[in-house]
Amino acid sequence: MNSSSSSSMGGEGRHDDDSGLTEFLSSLMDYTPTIPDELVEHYLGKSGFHCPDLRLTRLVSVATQKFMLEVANDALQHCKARQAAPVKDKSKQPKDKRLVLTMEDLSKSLQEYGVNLKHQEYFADSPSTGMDPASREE
Amino acid sequence: MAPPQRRRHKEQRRCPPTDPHPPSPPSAFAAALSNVAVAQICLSTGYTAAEPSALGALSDVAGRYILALGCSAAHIAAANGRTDANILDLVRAIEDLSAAHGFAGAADPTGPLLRSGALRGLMAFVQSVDEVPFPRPIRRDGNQETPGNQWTSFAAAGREPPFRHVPRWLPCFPEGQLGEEGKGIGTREEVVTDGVGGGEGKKIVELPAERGRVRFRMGGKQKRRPREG
Repeated sequence: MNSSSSSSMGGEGRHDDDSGLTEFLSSLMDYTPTIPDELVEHYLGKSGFHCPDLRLTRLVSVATQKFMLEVANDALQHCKARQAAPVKDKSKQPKDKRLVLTMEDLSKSLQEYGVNLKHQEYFADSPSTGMDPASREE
Repeated sequence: MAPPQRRRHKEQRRCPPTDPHPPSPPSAFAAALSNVAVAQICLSTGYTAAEPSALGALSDVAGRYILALGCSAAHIAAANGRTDANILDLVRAIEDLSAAHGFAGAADPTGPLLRSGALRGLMAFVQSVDEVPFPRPIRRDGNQETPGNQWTSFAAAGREPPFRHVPRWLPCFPEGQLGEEGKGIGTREEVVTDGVGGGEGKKIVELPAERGRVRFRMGGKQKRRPREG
Protein backbone atom coordinates (compact mmCIF):
# COMPACT_ATOMS: atom_id res chain seq x y z
CA MET A 1 0.00 0.00 0.00
CA ASN A 2 1.52 3.28 -0.97
CA SER A 3 0.42 6.81 -1.71
CA SER A 4 -1.98 5.85 -4.46
CA SER A 5 -4.06 3.61 -2.23
CA SER A 6 -3.61 5.69 0.89
CA SER A 7 -4.82 8.80 -0.90
CA SER A 8 -8.11 7.08 -1.58
CA MET A 9 -8.71 6.81 2.16
CA GLY A 10 -8.96 10.53 2.64
CA GLY A 11 -12.12 12.54 2.54
CA GLU A 12 -13.13 14.89 -0.25
CA GLY A 13 -11.63 17.91 1.44
CA ARG A 14 -8.17 16.41 1.26
CA HIS A 15 -7.98 16.03 -2.48
CA ASP A 16 -5.75 19.06 -2.89
CA ASP A 17 -3.34 17.83 -0.25
CA ASP A 18 -3.32 14.37 -1.68
CA SER A 19 -2.64 15.56 -5.19
CA GLY A 20 0.17 17.72 -3.81
CA LEU A 21 1.59 14.74 -1.97
CA THR A 22 1.36 12.52 -5.04
CA GLU A 23 3.10 15.19 -7.06
CA PHE A 24 5.79 15.52 -4.45
CA LEU A 25 6.37 11.77 -4.33
CA SER A 26 6.54 11.49 -8.09
CA SER A 27 8.94 14.43 -8.20
CA LEU A 28 11.20 12.46 -5.86
CA MET A 29 11.72 9.93 -8.66
CA ASP A 30 13.55 12.59 -10.66
CA TYR A 31 15.32 14.06 -7.65
CA THR A 32 18.88 12.95 -6.94
CA PRO A 33 19.49 13.14 -3.20
CA THR A 34 22.98 13.74 -1.81
CA ILE A 35 22.74 10.63 0.33
CA PRO A 36 22.80 7.82 -2.23
CA ASP A 37 19.97 5.33 -2.48
CA GLU A 38 22.33 2.41 -2.01
CA LEU A 39 23.45 3.71 1.37
CA VAL A 40 19.90 4.38 2.51
CA GLU A 41 18.80 0.93 1.36
CA HIS A 42 21.71 -0.63 3.23
CA TYR A 43 20.73 1.03 6.49
CA LEU A 44 17.01 0.46 5.94
CA GLY A 45 17.65 -3.20 5.28
CA LYS A 46 19.56 -3.40 8.53
CA SER A 47 16.74 -1.76 10.44
CA GLY A 48 14.08 -4.19 9.22
CA PHE A 49 12.25 -1.68 7.06
CA HIS A 50 10.87 -3.40 4.00
CA CYS A 51 9.26 -1.54 1.14
CA PRO A 52 10.01 -2.00 -2.55
CA ASP A 53 8.85 1.55 -3.36
CA LEU A 54 11.82 3.69 -4.40
CA ARG A 55 9.92 6.87 -3.52
CA LEU A 56 9.89 5.97 0.17
CA THR A 57 13.63 5.32 0.07
CA ARG A 58 14.07 8.74 -1.48
CA LEU A 59 11.82 10.25 1.19
CA VAL A 60 14.04 8.76 3.91
CA SER A 61 17.07 10.09 2.08
CA VAL A 62 15.59 13.57 1.83
CA ALA A 63 14.56 13.55 5.50
CA THR A 64 18.08 12.56 6.52
CA GLN A 65 19.60 15.20 4.26
CA LYS A 66 17.36 17.83 5.82
CA PHE A 67 18.34 16.76 9.32
CA MET A 68 22.04 16.81 8.45
CA LEU A 69 21.72 20.21 6.81
CA GLU A 70 19.99 21.64 9.87
CA VAL A 71 22.65 20.25 12.19
CA ALA A 72 25.46 21.53 9.96
CA ASN A 73 23.80 24.95 9.71
CA ASP A 74 23.51 25.21 13.49
CA ALA A 75 27.14 24.20 13.89
CA LEU A 76 28.08 26.83 11.31
CA GLN A 77 26.25 29.50 13.28
CA HIS A 78 28.13 28.44 16.42
CA CYS A 79 31.39 28.59 14.50
CA LYS A 80 30.66 32.06 13.13
CA ALA A 81 29.59 33.33 16.54
CA ARG A 82 32.80 32.04 18.09
CA GLN A 83 34.90 33.72 15.44
CA ALA A 84 33.01 37.01 15.73
CA ALA A 85 33.36 37.14 19.51
CA PRO A 86 35.87 39.80 20.64
CA VAL A 87 39.12 38.37 21.97
CA LYS A 88 40.96 40.34 24.63
CA ASP A 89 44.32 38.71 24.12
CA LYS A 90 45.45 39.48 20.58
CA SER A 91 47.99 36.67 20.58
CA LYS A 92 45.25 34.07 21.13
CA GLN A 93 43.26 35.25 18.12
CA PRO A 94 43.22 32.58 15.44
CA LYS A 95 44.98 33.65 12.28
CA ASP A 96 42.89 31.89 9.68
CA LYS A 97 39.22 32.71 9.41
CA ARG A 98 38.38 29.50 7.63
CA LEU A 99 35.15 27.81 8.56
CA VAL A 100 36.09 24.40 9.90
CA LEU A 101 33.62 21.89 11.29
CA THR A 102 34.86 21.07 14.78
CA MET A 103 33.68 18.69 17.45
CA GLU A 104 33.01 21.61 19.76
CA ASP A 105 30.46 23.23 17.44
CA LEU A 106 29.04 19.91 16.38
CA SER A 107 28.38 18.74 19.93
CA LYS A 108 26.66 22.03 20.73
CA SER A 109 24.39 21.86 17.70
CA LEU A 110 23.65 18.15 18.13
CA GLN A 111 22.68 18.73 21.74
CA GLU A 112 19.70 20.74 20.54
CA TYR A 113 18.52 17.69 18.61
CA GLY A 114 18.83 15.37 21.58
CA VAL A 115 22.14 13.80 20.61
CA ASN A 116 24.75 13.87 23.33
CA LEU A 117 28.11 13.92 21.64
CA LYS A 118 31.18 14.07 23.83
CA HIS A 119 34.88 14.15 23.31
CA GLN A 120 36.83 11.01 23.92
CA GLU A 121 37.81 10.73 27.57
CA TYR A 122 41.34 11.81 28.29
CA PHE A 123 43.34 8.79 29.34
CA ALA A 124 46.21 9.65 31.69
CA ASP A 125 49.12 7.35 32.31
CA SER A 126 49.00 7.95 36.07
CA PRO A 127 46.24 9.29 38.36
CA SER A 128 48.22 12.41 39.22
CA THR A 129 48.88 13.53 35.63
CA GLY A 130 45.89 15.79 35.12
CA MET A 131 45.79 17.27 38.63
CA ASP A 132 46.97 20.63 39.85
CA PRO A 133 50.54 20.83 41.09
CA ALA A 134 49.31 21.83 44.58
CA SER A 135 47.08 18.81 44.99
CA ARG A 136 49.77 16.59 43.49
CA GLU A 137 52.12 17.51 46.30
CA GLU A 138 49.57 16.46 48.87
CA MET B 1 43.06 11.03 46.58
CA ALA B 2 39.53 11.20 47.98
CA PRO B 3 38.13 14.09 45.90
CA PRO B 4 38.75 12.54 42.47
CA GLN B 5 37.12 9.28 43.56
CA ARG B 6 34.06 11.12 44.77
CA ARG B 7 33.92 13.01 41.49
CA ARG B 8 34.14 9.78 39.59
CA HIS B 9 31.20 8.36 41.54
CA LYS B 10 29.13 11.41 40.71
CA GLU B 11 29.96 11.08 37.03
CA GLN B 12 28.97 7.43 37.09
CA ARG B 13 25.67 8.31 38.68
CA ARG B 14 25.01 10.97 36.08
CA CYS B 15 25.71 8.61 33.18
CA PRO B 16 22.57 7.03 31.69
CA PRO B 17 22.37 3.24 31.87
CA THR B 18 24.26 1.69 28.99
CA ASP B 19 22.41 -0.16 26.27
CA PRO B 20 22.68 -3.92 26.85
CA HIS B 21 22.70 -4.52 23.09
CA PRO B 22 24.86 -1.82 21.56
CA PRO B 23 24.44 -1.48 17.79
CA SER B 24 27.09 -3.16 15.74
CA PRO B 25 29.67 -0.86 14.18
CA PRO B 26 28.83 0.15 10.61
CA SER B 27 30.68 -1.48 7.77
CA ALA B 28 33.68 0.44 6.47
CA PHE B 29 32.18 0.87 3.02
CA ALA B 30 28.92 2.31 4.35
CA ALA B 31 30.84 4.59 6.70
CA ALA B 32 33.03 5.86 3.85
CA LEU B 33 30.00 6.54 1.65
CA SER B 34 28.28 8.31 4.50
CA ASN B 35 31.41 10.40 5.11
CA VAL B 36 31.45 11.62 1.51
CA ALA B 37 27.74 12.43 1.49
CA VAL B 38 27.91 14.32 4.79
CA ALA B 39 31.00 16.19 3.62
CA GLN B 40 29.05 17.32 0.56
CA ILE B 41 26.21 18.51 2.77
CA CYS B 42 28.66 20.43 4.99
CA LEU B 43 30.24 21.97 1.91
CA SER B 44 26.84 23.15 0.70
CA THR B 45 26.18 24.90 4.02
CA GLY B 46 29.35 26.98 3.70
CA TYR B 47 32.02 25.03 5.51
CA THR B 48 35.42 24.93 3.84
CA ALA B 49 36.95 22.15 5.92
CA ALA B 50 36.11 19.68 8.65
CA GLU B 51 37.95 17.83 11.36
CA PRO B 52 38.00 14.14 10.49
CA SER B 53 36.64 13.20 13.91
CA ALA B 54 33.74 15.65 13.60
CA LEU B 55 32.95 14.46 10.09
CA GLY B 56 33.05 10.84 11.23
CA ALA B 57 30.75 11.62 14.15
CA LEU B 58 28.27 13.48 11.95
CA SER B 59 28.20 10.70 9.35
CA ASP B 60 27.67 8.18 12.15
CA VAL B 61 24.73 10.26 13.33
CA ALA B 62 23.38 10.22 9.76
CA GLY B 63 23.53 6.42 9.67
CA ARG B 64 21.85 6.18 13.03
CA TYR B 65 19.14 8.58 11.90
CA ILE B 66 18.31 6.37 8.90
CA LEU B 67 18.36 3.30 11.15
CA ALA B 68 16.07 4.99 13.65
CA LEU B 69 13.67 6.05 10.89
CA GLY B 70 13.59 2.53 9.45
CA CYS B 71 13.16 0.89 12.87
CA SER B 72 10.37 3.23 13.85
CA ALA B 73 8.50 2.80 10.54
CA ALA B 74 8.92 -0.98 10.66
CA HIS B 75 7.60 -1.10 14.24
CA ILE B 76 4.57 1.00 13.35
CA ALA B 77 3.85 -1.22 10.34
CA ALA B 78 4.21 -4.34 12.48
CA ALA B 79 1.92 -2.87 15.13
CA ASN B 80 -0.72 -2.44 12.44
CA GLY B 81 -0.33 -6.03 11.28
CA ARG B 82 1.67 -5.41 8.12
CA THR B 83 5.10 -6.59 7.09
CA ASP B 84 5.69 -3.88 4.47
CA ALA B 85 5.82 -0.29 5.62
CA ASN B 86 3.93 2.39 3.71
CA ILE B 87 4.08 6.16 3.56
CA LEU B 88 1.83 6.62 6.58
CA ASP B 89 4.24 4.64 8.75
CA LEU B 90 7.15 6.60 7.39
CA VAL B 91 5.50 9.96 7.98
CA ARG B 92 4.70 8.87 11.52
CA ALA B 93 8.33 7.87 12.03
CA ILE B 94 9.55 11.21 10.64
CA GLU B 95 7.16 13.01 12.98
CA ASP B 96 8.45 11.00 15.93
CA LEU B 97 12.06 11.82 15.15
CA SER B 98 11.47 15.49 14.48
CA ALA B 99 9.38 15.88 17.63
CA ALA B 100 12.51 16.76 19.61
CA HIS B 101 12.99 19.95 17.62
CA GLY B 102 9.34 20.54 16.86
CA PHE B 103 7.40 21.09 13.64
CA ALA B 104 4.26 22.89 12.56
CA GLY B 105 1.15 21.09 13.71
CA ALA B 106 2.89 18.93 16.26
CA ALA B 107 0.44 20.13 18.91
CA ASP B 108 -2.37 18.13 17.31
CA PRO B 109 -1.38 14.47 17.21
CA THR B 110 -4.80 13.39 15.93
CA GLY B 111 -4.54 15.39 12.72
CA PRO B 112 -4.32 13.65 9.35
CA LEU B 113 -0.87 12.22 8.73
CA LEU B 114 -0.74 13.16 5.07
CA ARG B 115 -1.17 16.82 6.01
CA SER B 116 1.61 16.60 8.56
CA GLY B 117 3.78 19.63 9.15
CA ALA B 118 6.92 17.50 9.01
CA LEU B 119 5.98 16.26 5.54
CA ARG B 120 5.26 19.79 4.37
CA GLY B 121 8.62 20.83 5.71
CA LEU B 122 10.22 18.13 3.60
CA MET B 123 8.32 19.31 0.52
CA ALA B 124 9.50 22.86 1.05
CA PHE B 125 13.03 21.61 1.63
CA VAL B 126 13.13 19.68 -1.65
CA GLN B 127 11.89 22.72 -3.54
CA SER B 128 14.29 25.12 -1.91
CA VAL B 129 17.54 23.22 -1.78
CA ASP B 130 19.93 22.77 -4.67
CA GLU B 131 20.35 19.26 -5.94
CA VAL B 132 23.82 17.95 -5.08
CA PRO B 133 24.12 14.40 -6.38
CA PHE B 134 26.62 11.91 -5.05
CA PRO B 135 29.86 12.32 -7.06
CA ARG B 136 30.20 8.76 -8.29
CA PRO B 137 27.88 5.91 -9.18
CA ILE B 138 27.92 3.11 -6.64
CA ARG B 139 28.09 -0.52 -7.59
CA ARG B 140 25.06 -2.28 -6.25
CA ASP B 141 25.74 -5.86 -5.26
CA GLY B 142 24.10 -6.89 -2.05
CA ASN B 143 25.16 -10.52 -2.38
CA GLN B 144 28.79 -9.76 -1.81
CA GLU B 145 28.16 -8.76 1.76
CA THR B 146 27.13 -12.24 2.82
CA PRO B 147 29.40 -14.74 1.10
CA GLY B 148 28.72 -17.26 3.86
CA ASN B 149 25.18 -17.77 2.63
CA GLN B 150 26.26 -19.05 -0.75
CA TRP B 151 27.08 -22.75 -0.61
CA THR B 152 26.65 -25.78 -2.78
CA SER B 153 25.86 -29.24 -1.54
CA PHE B 154 27.83 -32.34 -2.47
CA ALA B 155 24.96 -33.39 -4.74
CA ALA B 156 24.87 -30.03 -6.53
CA ALA B 157 28.62 -30.00 -7.00
CA GLY B 158 28.56 -33.58 -8.33
CA ARG B 159 31.00 -34.81 -5.70
CA GLU B 160 30.90 -37.68 -3.28
CA PRO B 161 31.26 -36.86 0.41
CA PRO B 162 34.57 -38.09 1.79
CA PHE B 163 32.94 -39.86 4.73
CA ARG B 164 30.12 -42.38 4.55
CA HIS B 165 28.15 -40.80 7.38
CA VAL B 166 28.01 -37.44 5.62
CA PRO B 167 24.82 -37.08 3.56
CA ARG B 168 25.07 -35.68 0.06
CA TRP B 169 22.78 -32.74 0.75
CA LEU B 170 25.24 -31.15 3.15
CA PRO B 171 27.45 -28.35 1.84
CA CYS B 172 30.85 -29.31 0.49
CA PHE B 173 33.75 -29.25 2.87
CA PRO B 174 36.23 -26.48 2.31
CA GLU B 175 39.15 -27.53 0.14
CA GLY B 176 41.76 -27.48 2.88
CA GLN B 177 39.58 -29.53 5.23
CA LEU B 178 39.70 -32.68 3.11
CA GLY B 179 43.47 -32.89 3.63
CA GLU B 180 44.78 -35.98 5.34
CA GLU B 181 41.69 -37.74 6.65
CA GLY B 182 39.79 -37.71 3.38
CA LYS B 183 42.72 -38.96 1.38
CA GLY B 184 43.58 -41.58 3.96
CA ILE B 185 40.14 -43.11 3.83
CA GLY B 186 40.02 -42.82 0.07
CA THR B 187 43.04 -45.06 -0.29
CA ARG B 188 41.74 -47.61 2.16
CA GLU B 189 38.30 -47.94 0.63
CA GLU B 190 37.55 -48.57 -2.98
CA VAL B 191 34.22 -47.02 -3.84
CA VAL B 192 32.48 -48.14 -6.98
CA THR B 193 29.56 -46.05 -8.07
CA ASP B 194 26.83 -47.39 -10.27
CA GLY B 195 25.21 -44.68 -12.37
CA VAL B 196 26.13 -41.12 -11.54
CA GLY B 197 22.71 -39.68 -12.44
CA GLY B 198 20.82 -42.00 -10.10
CA GLY B 199 21.76 -39.99 -7.09
CA GLU B 200 22.41 -42.90 -4.76
CA GLY B 201 25.26 -45.01 -5.98
CA LYS B 202 25.74 -48.65 -5.10
CA LYS B 203 28.83 -49.01 -3.01
CA ILE B 204 30.99 -52.04 -2.66
CA VAL B 205 33.50 -51.59 0.07
CA GLU B 206 36.39 -53.91 0.51
CA LEU B 207 37.58 -54.07 4.06
CA PRO B 208 41.29 -53.93 4.60
CA ALA B 209 41.68 -57.06 6.77
CA GLU B 210 40.29 -60.54 6.32
CA ARG B 211 37.77 -61.67 8.89
CA GLY B 212 35.94 -64.85 9.60
CA ARG B 213 32.51 -65.30 8.09
CA VAL B 214 29.52 -65.31 10.38
CA ARG B 215 26.28 -67.05 9.56
CA PHE B 216 22.94 -66.66 11.23
CA ARG B 217 19.93 -68.88 11.02
CA MET B 218 16.52 -67.61 12.01
CA GLY B 219 14.83 -69.57 14.80
CA GLY B 220 17.62 -72.07 15.12
CA LYS B 221 21.04 -72.38 16.58
CA GLN B 222 23.77 -70.01 15.56
CA LYS B 223 26.63 -71.80 13.98
CA ARG B 224 29.98 -70.26 13.45
CA ARG B 225 32.15 -71.72 10.81
CA PRO B 226 35.79 -71.88 11.85
CA ARG B 227 38.15 -69.77 9.91
CA GLU B 228 39.85 -71.59 7.10
CA GLY B 229 43.53 -71.71 6.51
